[in-house]
Amino acid sequence: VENVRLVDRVSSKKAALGTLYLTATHVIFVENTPDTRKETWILHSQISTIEKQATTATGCPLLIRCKNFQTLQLVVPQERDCHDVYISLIRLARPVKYEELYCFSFNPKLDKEEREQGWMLIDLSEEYKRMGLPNNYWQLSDVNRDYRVCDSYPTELYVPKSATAHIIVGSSKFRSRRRFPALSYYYKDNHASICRSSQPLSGFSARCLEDEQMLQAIRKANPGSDFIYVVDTRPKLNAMANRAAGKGYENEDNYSNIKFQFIGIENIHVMRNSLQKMLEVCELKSPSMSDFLWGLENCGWLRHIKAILDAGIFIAKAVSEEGASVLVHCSDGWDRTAQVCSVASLLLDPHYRTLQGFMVLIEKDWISFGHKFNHRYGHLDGDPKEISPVIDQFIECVWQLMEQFPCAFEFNERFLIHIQHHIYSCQFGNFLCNSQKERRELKFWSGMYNRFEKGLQPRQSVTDYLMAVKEETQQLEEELEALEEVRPTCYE
Amino acid sequence: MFPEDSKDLFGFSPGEQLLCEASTVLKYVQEDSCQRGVYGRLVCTDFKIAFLGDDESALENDVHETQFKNKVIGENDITLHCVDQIFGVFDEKKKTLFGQLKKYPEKLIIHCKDLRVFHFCLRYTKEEEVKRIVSGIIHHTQAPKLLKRLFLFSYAAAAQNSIANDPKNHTVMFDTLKDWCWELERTKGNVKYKAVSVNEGYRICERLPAYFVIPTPLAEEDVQRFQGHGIPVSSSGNPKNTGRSLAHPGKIILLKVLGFVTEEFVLPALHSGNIIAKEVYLRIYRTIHRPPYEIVKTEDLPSNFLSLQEIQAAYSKFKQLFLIDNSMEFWDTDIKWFSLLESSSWLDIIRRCLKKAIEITECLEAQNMNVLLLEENASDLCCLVSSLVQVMMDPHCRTRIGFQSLVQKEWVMGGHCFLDRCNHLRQSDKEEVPVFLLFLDCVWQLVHQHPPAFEFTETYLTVLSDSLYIPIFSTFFFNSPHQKDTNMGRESQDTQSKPLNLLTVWDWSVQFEPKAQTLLKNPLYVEKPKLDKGQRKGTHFKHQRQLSLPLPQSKSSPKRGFFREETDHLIKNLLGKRISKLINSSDELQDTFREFYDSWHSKPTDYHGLLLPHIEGPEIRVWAQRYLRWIPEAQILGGGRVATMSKLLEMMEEVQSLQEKIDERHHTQEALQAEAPCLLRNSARLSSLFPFALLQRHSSKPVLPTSGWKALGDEEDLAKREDEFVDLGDHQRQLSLPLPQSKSSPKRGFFREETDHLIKNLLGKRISKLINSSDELQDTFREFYDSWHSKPTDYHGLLLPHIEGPEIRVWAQRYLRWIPEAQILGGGRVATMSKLLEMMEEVQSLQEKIDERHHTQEALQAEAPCLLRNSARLSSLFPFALLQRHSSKPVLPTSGWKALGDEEDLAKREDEFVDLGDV
Repeated sequence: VENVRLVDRVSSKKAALGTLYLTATHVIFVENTPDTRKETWILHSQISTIEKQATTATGCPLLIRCKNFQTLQLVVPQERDCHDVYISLIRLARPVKYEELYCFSFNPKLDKEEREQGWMLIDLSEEYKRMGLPNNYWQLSDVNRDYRVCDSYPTELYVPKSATAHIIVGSSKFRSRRRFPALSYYYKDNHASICRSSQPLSGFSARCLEDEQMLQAIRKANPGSDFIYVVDTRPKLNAMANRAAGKGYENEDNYSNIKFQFIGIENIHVMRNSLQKMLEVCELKSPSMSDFLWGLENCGWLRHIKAILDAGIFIAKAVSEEGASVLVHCSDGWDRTAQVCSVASLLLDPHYRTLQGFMVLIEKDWISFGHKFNHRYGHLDGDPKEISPVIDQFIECVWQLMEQFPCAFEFNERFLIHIQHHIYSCQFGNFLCNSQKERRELKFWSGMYNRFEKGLQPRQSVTDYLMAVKEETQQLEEELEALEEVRPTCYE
Repeated sequence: MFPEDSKDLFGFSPGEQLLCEASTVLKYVQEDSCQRGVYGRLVCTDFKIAFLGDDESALENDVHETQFKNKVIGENDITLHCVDQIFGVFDEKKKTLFGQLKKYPEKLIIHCKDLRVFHFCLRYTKEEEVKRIVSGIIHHTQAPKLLKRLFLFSYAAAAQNSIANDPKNHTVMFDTLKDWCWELERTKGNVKYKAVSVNEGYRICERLPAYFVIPTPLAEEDVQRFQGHGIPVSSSGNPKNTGRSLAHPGKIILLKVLGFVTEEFVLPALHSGNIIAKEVYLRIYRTIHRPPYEIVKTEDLPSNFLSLQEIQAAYSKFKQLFLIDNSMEFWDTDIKWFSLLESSSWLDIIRRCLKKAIEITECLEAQNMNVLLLEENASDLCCLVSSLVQVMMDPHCRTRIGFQSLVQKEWVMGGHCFLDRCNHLRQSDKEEVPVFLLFLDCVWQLVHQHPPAFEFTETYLTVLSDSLYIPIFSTFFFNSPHQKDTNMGRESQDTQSKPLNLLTVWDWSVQFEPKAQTLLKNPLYVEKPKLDKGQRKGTHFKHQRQLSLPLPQSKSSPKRGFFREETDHLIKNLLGKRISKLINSSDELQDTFREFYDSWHSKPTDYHGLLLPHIEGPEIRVWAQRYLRWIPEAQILGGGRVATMSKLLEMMEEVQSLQEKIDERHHTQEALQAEAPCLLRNSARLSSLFPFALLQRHSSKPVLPTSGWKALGDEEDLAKREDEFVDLGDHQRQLSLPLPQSKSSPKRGFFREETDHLIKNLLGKRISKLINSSDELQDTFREFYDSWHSKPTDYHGLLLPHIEGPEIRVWAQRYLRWIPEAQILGGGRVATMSKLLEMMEEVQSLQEKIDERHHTQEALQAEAPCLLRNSARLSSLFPFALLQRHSSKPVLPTSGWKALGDEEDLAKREDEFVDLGDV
């Protein structure tokens, strides 16, 4: 831990003098002014980039950018110190092993049982039961036990009853990274379902009987409709390009009774750049009106958000109105597919708009289906090209919905921000690793969800609270009434 | 003319005359890309163009329909002054209509100045009638008119008796000397300034009001002399020049804040080279330069601010974004929403106005300088800037009465040329500049950013902007008070001895029922704690007094201290700079401006003190309620800010009823019949553009007689379901319960029906022409989307987002939370939310009280529910930005932190913060 006096610059010319501490987990800056001693805490895992700028007369400036978009400019008087800080921060901000992450040193003073309970809070089999599964059409398959078929899928998967293990395995061989079609959401009102997979390895002409049978099985699992939608969430151009690489999309001629649809959501690289541009717009110092609007439109971020919402609406419509099942895929079926499936489920099912339901939704569509948290959010030192704000976009979609319908959600904006914070902070084990398999190999426990249970109430949900208050009021009024009837006699 | 009963039938106003009419006109309903419509008669009178549907009765029974109905202008009425442009459709081609027509169109499209768009199909109308109605409408809306022919006069003459009783609305009209004196007293400006009546009867100048205020040392005779009275120049120079030179001493606005006298002078430009003007100017300048007056800064508005042409050009581009003929057009423009918005540069103009106002505020507040505003006529940008400054500096102007008085003083009496600027007489399109609208939009930005600081709502501003075009109110139909007085005076000599009694727009009861008027009042408004009555005496304007008390000394002292400090700091700063290097003055100004702006925004907001708007890009918004209210695609049923607001209102009513109950018990000790506060104002039915958009949507109901019942039944059904849901919501406390089966069944039915409809539609299309599949998909998608969004939202059912450009936002809390410039202390949504929480706490405390009584049966010591969680301290990006600012922990142990974890710490710090707020 260093003990250097530093100057902090937020945005104006005013600078605060203070001390910088580096701990094993945080960067802490404490101001020297005796009465306030303002502190700024930054978690190492939140640090996205560190920049050392050219030395000036006052000292050596150091710019720290965080993943939650906070930026901190420090000026260290001694260049040597600055270099030390820089080097150690680079090391600390990019751990190499999982064991170095914050969640392994974070001790919320819970004993082992309590921690285990934290992990028990979300039970996916309970969730499938809520959807009305298993039933006559869908069953739990053990084909992926010990991750034999697909290592990025969970072990417990729901597939159509008519799909035999042979069909599933055959289908998985025809799908990128063996991610075969599996159930994501079941709409019990009309038996329609949302399934997810990765792209087929169709190339220009390849066919696979089992894969075709698999899609038939999904269609038959919904007696209300004689076709299924296959939604490719990529722009058509990208899908064509993939076809040249031996991958691609379903040919409507080969699969009977499917309706194929492209929805152009751009890939992770476009999204990453878009966010970067958007942040630049937000960080402009006193931008003119036209700078702002022009920048906002040009970064395209809101357009991408809209594309995801569009896809969600399309699927929600297919499921609820047309009663048709939908198979969603993108390239590997873990980024855009997760976004789209979870948005559609959120639109369809009010349960996912509750606190518990939202956590279940993330657990189901993101964590269990192998969204690559580690790669996308850069928990461990890795390829910067893999980093992309995929789940951030989903959370933002939810926020947009919340902005439009403030009364429809049990949780609030803060809850979303907390989730987003912890996706990057690695304070809890939930968002570690790239898949269930990796996670199981690590074996750890944590209690993130417990925190939300305790920490956010009662301010978290205005609507819920209001309802409770209302009910209580009514009860009290009744009591009051009863009381009043007794009362005159008391006084007489 | 016509029999009495037919007048009643049409719902004509007194004095209104029918000019022409046409029957079996089909009015299209906008939302279905013009496929459905209502039959009825199109009528043109000397007041309005009205569409009278053949089947009006179905509308009557809707409660919401009547809730916010304008009594003067119906939903299908367009006053002649409200017509912006008229288009005709000839063989699918749209052309602007004007002058004499050779060919008559089959469809008439009317764009209104309040941004409504009407489509009338004339295909089924007799040719004779088409000719008459089209040429009638064109003539009466577009041909230049004489002032005397305004409907205003015939209305006033006809309705003489009914409007005789002038109701007490407490707006100060500034048409008597007493009013001006009162204003002087209110602002404590009576030491250095005096009100004069030299211009009584407009002897000196016609551009000035009869009474005005000048600096005390200036003698009344001087005023007369400088005005060119008896000086040969006035006769040789053109009368306009004289007018200009006269304008200046009159427009003295006194703002007294914090014990310093600060004031603005509106002076004419000196460009004219008029010697007299220069002399006057110098004299005035010298007068106010002497002590006790402070330094003067002159601000020449047209040359370094905005030009009227810019405003005009920007607005005409901007309004095109909202004058949309059909939903096709909407979706086409939607993709480019932001760049279109940018290219209109309307928002930029708003920003520049706000910025200018802040600059002037800074001069007055922080630097103690007087400001002279210069403009050629002193009646456009001067009005705009000076009234904006007053809204920002004087809390009185943020009350409804105060705002109305301000408009009256600055705009009506200040001689803003409403007649020309609104082009009421259609004499010159060049003169038509929406300056007043720009002012309202600027105020709206302030209202939007600081909801608790204003007594009125955005709805108030919207209806005020609509009232510009209703020619029964005299307020906005004259160029100057002189014009008004002379026109009224002559009338009275000619006909009767009684002078005409013109209505003022401030009498809202003319337009709205009392219930609708409540929508003009802001429930979030933080009323100022009242002072003891003994402290101030005076019998006049008692009501206003309460609202308009000047800042008490005690309260202002810390603030003053702050400004002193700031000023000292500033001076030092400036001196330092001057020594170190040569800098030009504008740079320096920029600097002090920034500093002032930043320092103000970093303090908690005092809603009854100075109020500055934010002028960063993300904070300047489109005034959705005014501009988007007629576009069905842009509304969110049961969503948006309105939902939060209505929830708040519900809570407040509940609190009130509980309070009343407690009071009642206290006083009477009688048995209380528990009346359930049955005020279910169901928020799910309100549109985000409430109260306007709702009207329109419901009006489309009786369109198709065959499916109309279905539609109606559907609606009712939904309403029922909603109630069900709300109840369910009550019971569904755990919320993890799966939704019961019974609940979803009606919805399913609804979707089935829709599907049927869709399928039929699709089949029909397939037969008629070959369309490619993606198009079809797009189509059904759109249909589904639209049909869902046109129903009230069921929060526990299917939920679809809006994907229109204006609805997709930047997530401010996430992206901007670290940027100090982007936060509004005590503003934004967070203010509403915290208010809601406050209310909830209050409800709870009341309940606790009831509980207590219940148990103990003891007398209750009236404990004030002291739950003031001061919403003024919350930032709009709460809780993040705040944490950064306030987090204060005494000591830092070296090792313990790791174990404690920063999460817990954050939570704690927040709690601390709340405590601070309490204190």
